[in-house]
Amino acid sequence: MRIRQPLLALALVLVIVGATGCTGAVRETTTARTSTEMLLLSTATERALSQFDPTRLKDKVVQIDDSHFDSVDKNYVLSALRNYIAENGARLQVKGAEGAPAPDYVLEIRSASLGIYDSTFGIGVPQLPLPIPQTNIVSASPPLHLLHRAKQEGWAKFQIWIRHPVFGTYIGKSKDLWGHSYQSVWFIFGIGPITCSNDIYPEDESVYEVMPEDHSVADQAD
Amino acid sequence: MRRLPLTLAVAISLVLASGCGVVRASTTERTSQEMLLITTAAERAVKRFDLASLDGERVFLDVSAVPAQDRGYVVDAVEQHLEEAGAIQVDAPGRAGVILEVRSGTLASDERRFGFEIPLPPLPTKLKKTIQRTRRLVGSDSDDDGEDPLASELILGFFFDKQAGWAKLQGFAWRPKTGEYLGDFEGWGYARVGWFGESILPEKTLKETAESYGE
Repeated sequence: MRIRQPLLALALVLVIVGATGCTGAVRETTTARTSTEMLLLSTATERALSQFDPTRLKDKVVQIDDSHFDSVDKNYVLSALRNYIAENGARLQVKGAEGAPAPDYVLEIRSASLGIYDSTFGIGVPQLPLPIPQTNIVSASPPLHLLHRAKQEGWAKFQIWIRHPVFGTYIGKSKDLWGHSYQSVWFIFGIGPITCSNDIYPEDESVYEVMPEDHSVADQAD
Repeated sequence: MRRLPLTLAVAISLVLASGCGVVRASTTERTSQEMLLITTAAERAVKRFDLASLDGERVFLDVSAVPAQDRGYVVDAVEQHLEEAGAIQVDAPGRAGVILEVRSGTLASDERRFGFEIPLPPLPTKLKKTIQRTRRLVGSDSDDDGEDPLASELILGFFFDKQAGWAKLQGFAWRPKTGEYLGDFEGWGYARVGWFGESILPEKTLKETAESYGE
């Protein structure tokens, strides 16, 4: 009993010290969204837009109508769409520019989905109630996962209508434009996160790992 | 067992009287580390743009598709890069020979904690209340940020923290007069702090850097 008492007291002190807020902490991100989430959405967007067949728009002056489109990533989607159709031969115009030619087509884009889907899968012992002896207090044990996967997916579904700029009549429409991206992280025997697979980062790490050349004036002077 | 409550009381008093020091992470909206991660990543992404074809062109930079929070920094970085490429910047699309539209696929940070950890069960409510009451009595409950210090859980284990800044900047250039497409580009930027080093601070020491500016 004499041995157990100090041990119990020591354990209690450790718990109390741990609870006083003296432990170190790393501040979580303060950007509105994590970079992974933004990459999932922008990658899904790009893939969805690349499904659009722009043949009909070649050499035509095109205006984009975004009045039926709303999303946190609206600006990104519109810019990516402008890029895509311009790359494929459509002629863009500055909105409201003086002397700009009348557009041949108006492209109306709407979004059925542009969001993140989270799913988890695990094998192990879940959180269980843990009664504290000689009291009526019930605490909870930590979950102990042998294998745990957390998967985040970015989903985009867009539709594009082509209208006449003056009469507003229907000229054509796209098929449903789907885009998907994902990232999976694993915890194995409680160790992780281990990023096993994703399709949002470039396969060639030199694209971002190798430092770009600096052509600044100061460096040239050196 | 009679000595246990006394031991416990003494232990609690010691903990409460110890005046645990706290360094506040930041009073700005974001920490300097996070700002450096994002701006460094942005700068590296911009440096990968190949803007040589815009040499001598009158360019209007459209960054409306870059999130507002870090837009200013990206604008400055791209403008500097444009100048280095020999482009002439104009402030209205009507006066431009080329419009350069930049958007960001990502411009933010990510945190990772890698390792092995077991979060211990939270303190029983009764014990929490007793500690809080005692702390209030001795006047050491001085948290002014509204956070419950007892809410944090004790974690057993061993782990490394890593914070990374990512930038994926894309863009394309076109002629507003004809609508002609000139080309597109993409630049990735990455910066990190944690685990085994960092990539946001100058290679020279801060003192050497400050001295080199003085020269």
